[in-house]
Order: sequence, then C-alpha cells, then structure tokens
Amino acid sequence: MRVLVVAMTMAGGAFVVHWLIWRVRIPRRQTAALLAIFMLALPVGLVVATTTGAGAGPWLRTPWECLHVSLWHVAFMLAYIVAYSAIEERSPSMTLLCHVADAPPPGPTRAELMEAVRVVSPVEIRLGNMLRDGMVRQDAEVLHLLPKGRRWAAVFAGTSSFLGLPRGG
Amino acid sequence: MTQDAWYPLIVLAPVAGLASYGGAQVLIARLGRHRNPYRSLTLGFLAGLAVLLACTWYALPGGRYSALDAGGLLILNVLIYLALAFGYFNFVNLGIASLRIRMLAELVAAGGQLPAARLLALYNSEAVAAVRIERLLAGGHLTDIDGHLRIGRRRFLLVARIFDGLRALILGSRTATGRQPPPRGPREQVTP
Repeated sequence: MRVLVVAMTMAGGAFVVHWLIWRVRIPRRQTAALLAIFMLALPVGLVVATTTGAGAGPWLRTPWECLHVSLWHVAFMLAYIVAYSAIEERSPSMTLLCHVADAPPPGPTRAELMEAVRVVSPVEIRLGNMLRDGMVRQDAEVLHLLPKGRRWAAVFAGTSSFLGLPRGG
Repeated sequence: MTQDAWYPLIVLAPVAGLASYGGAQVLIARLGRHRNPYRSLTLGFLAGLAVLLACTWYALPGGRYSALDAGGLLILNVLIYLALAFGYFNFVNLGIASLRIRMLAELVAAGGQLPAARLLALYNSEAVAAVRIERLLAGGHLTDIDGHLRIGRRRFLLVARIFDGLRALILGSRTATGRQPPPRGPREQVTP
C-alpha cells in the first residue's frame, strides 16, 4: 500500500501543479509545459520519498520500488498528454455524438447533423495545427510537406500497412 | 526467495502485459485484415491484462506480502497497465481515425505538395462529418431510426462527457461546449 500511496501522491501532485498553473495562465506551448511539470515532479518526488518517511523507514526503500513508482509516473504522464489533445479540443466524433444526445426526439437527420457541426471546421483546424507544428508549410496557395510531416506519415503508413488497418480520417 | 527477489517480477508485470497486448493485437489484426480493427485492439487488451494479472498473482504469494500491501501492488500494476494500454491504443487509433495523418498521407501521395484548396476540398467538413457518422453507426454508437439518428451504445458518449468535464475543470467553463478559449498567444496543439 505504501508504494501505491507514493505513486498516486506524486502523479496527483504533478496534476495539481499543472491545474494551478493553467488556472493562472495557459502556457503557450502546452504539451512542452506538461512534459516539464511531470518530468520535474519525478526526480523531486523520488528524492523526497527516499529521504523522508514515517515510522520504520523512508517511503521508498529499494531501487525496484523507485522504478515501480517511476514506471507508473511516466505511463500516467504519457497517457495524460495523449488525452490532453482531446481535452483541449473536442474531436469531430465526440461533437457529433454530443449533438445527437442533446437533440430532442426524434433526433436529427444526417443532413441536419452535418449542418449543425459544419461550423466546427475540423479540417481547417488540423491544417492550422500542421502549419504551426512544422509538418507542412504554405507558399501562396500550395502546401509543401516538410521532413517532420513526412516522418509522421511514414510511421503511421507503415504501422497501418503492417496491421492491415483501413485508411484513416 | 526473499520478498526483494520477487519484487522485480511484480514491477515488470505491466511491461509484460503491454508486450502481450501489442503482440496479440498485431497477430489478430494481421489474421483478420478486413475485420473491424477495434476487435484486435479489444482482444489484445484483454490478452495483455490476463498476462499482467497472471504475473502479478504468481509473484505476490512468493513475496509473502500482507493483504494490504498485496492489494496495493495489484492496484498499482493494473493502473500502470491501463495507462500503458491507453497509450498503445491511441498510437494504433491514430492510423485508423486521425484526420491529420490522412491529410499527410494525401500530401505524400501527391509527391509532397498539393494546392491547399484541393486538400480542403478532399477533406471538407461535410466529408469528414459523413465519414465519422458512418463510422459511429457501424460501431453502434449511433442508430438510425426512420432516418433520424439517436444514441446507441453509450460508451463513447460517456467518454465525451468525461472529457467535457475535464475541459471545464482544466481550461475553464468557456470551453465546456468544445469551443476554443480566446487565444492568449500562439499555442502548440498536438491534435491528431
């Protein structure tokens, strides 16, 4: 139970710090800020947990216990950062579902649903994100694929082909 | 064996679970190429969970942990596995559902450059919405009753509501309905 408590306290503490910072001012580079908060919390938490304790000894007593807590902390950090993109911006599928759920009976038709979500414009948002993330650049009206974008495309094309997955979007 | 000798197996159990998830998912996906891709992800997840529980269950009695400690270690391992599995699921799901990945693939297929208007026409909001609606219908999350759409299985809707709640908690109530908050400067977004 001791190791579980330490692991939850470290991750929970990092999340609280993240929440407090976001309530004051949302950072410009949010993913980088999340990484920095969680990665800083790990060594600080480990130092505190191995040098302080209650009763019989420190909170964390062996290297394997430290590794166990670190494994949880890194897994939680990565999972949260992945989930954060969906927290930050509702996906088109979630928007569609919520619109249907909130509609009065008998529910919208396909045409009505598509009209209602048209203003969300996910394609323009994704294109803006790719420009900002350095995956593509735009000269006049032409989009050019940059090396970073080519690498992303290659990784996921290879994975999808290997797994026999359908084309995305 | 002492308690310390069993602990490494407990620590590595979630990693073994993740490796089993990936291996099982790849095998099932390749054997059933034309089936629903989420089937391989679900079955792989269950295989990995079984490996995790088996490894943890095997190591706990050997270490002679108290019931409280054993319970705590089991819960921690399950949580680690869920976090790792969530990451793996999203990695595979990007290839299936990501609009950004699809747009990048179009650029690659066009030789690295494409008029912006053509890309936007290929993936206009109507086309994206139509694909997503059909995918939600195929997955049972929406049902079509006499031409009107209603919610089917509530799992995905529940996830959407949870994310709405987290958005309100972290980013403030202005974004609770999915609208972008007022920009405070250039923002980095990692949106699939």
